[in-house]
Amino acid sequence: MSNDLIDKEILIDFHEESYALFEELETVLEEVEGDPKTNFSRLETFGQIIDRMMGTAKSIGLDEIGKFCELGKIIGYKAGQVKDPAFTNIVVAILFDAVEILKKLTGNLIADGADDGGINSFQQISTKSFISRLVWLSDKLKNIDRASCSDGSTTSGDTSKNLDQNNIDELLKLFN
Amino acid sequence: MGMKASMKIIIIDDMSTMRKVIKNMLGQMGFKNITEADDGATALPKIEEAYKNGAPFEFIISDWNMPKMSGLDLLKKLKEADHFKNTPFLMVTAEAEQSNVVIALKAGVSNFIVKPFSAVVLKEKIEKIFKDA
Repeated sequence: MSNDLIDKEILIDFHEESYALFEELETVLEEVEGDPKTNFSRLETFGQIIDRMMGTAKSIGLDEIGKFCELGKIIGYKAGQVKDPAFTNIVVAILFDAVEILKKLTGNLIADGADDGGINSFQQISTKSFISRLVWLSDKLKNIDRASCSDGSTTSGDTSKNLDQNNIDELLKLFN
Repeated sequence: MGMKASMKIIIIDDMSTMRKVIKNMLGQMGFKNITEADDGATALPKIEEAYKNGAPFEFIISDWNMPKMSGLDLLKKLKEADHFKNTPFLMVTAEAEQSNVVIALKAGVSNFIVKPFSAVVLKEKIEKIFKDA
């Protein structure tokens, strides 16, 4: 989306909506933290919730927040398929941190003196140790294919790959 | 089926920011008769009631990933009824997995648009849908 649509009103809306989603995300993480052995698959719900935020962020040109949400989404979906309480506990801790960082990023959107030009940048928030944990986590999860809200029962092999708009348009031609 | 500025449109998305963005884009294209709903469960009775009142929605734009009732579930529900079979349905998604697309195509979706998208792409999609309809 062009930047002219990122007006203050939309940023305020996004900020408010994001905070409602943060509460949902934290509730899910608390449930998983309370009983990782039983509730590990709820991390998929985390992925689903943060996916909603990702789509909107990307659509209004908040690419950094969008990408950060995308990472959270992938981790949530993938980790939700791993039944290993010790591992789940680590994932939950990392995702709690991810939510905190997202809060700072979205909070900065409407902070005094904020403009559209990048006050929401990662550079202004210390993320070095967090990124290294994400890299570690990403390595642990690299062999799990499913990373979205697709119905797992219908996803296998090549059909699990992400499609861009061009791929979809090609697919549409087959159906028309 | 023709595309006209007075066309009655419903935008369904759980994120009001996203609804506002799409509404702005549609407004730039000249569409003004726009209703909003925050998920499939809220939209379904609105769509049914509009039909019963003799002023059905002529175009549905729905997000895929929503709580309560997803865009796919709404699509399937609507396409069960003969009177909604030909209502154009554009699915908006940040998800773009082939399995999802195929499921939605089989369920009767008119077209797909992947977030983020520009007003130009949305316009192209709408024109394509109504050209093919």
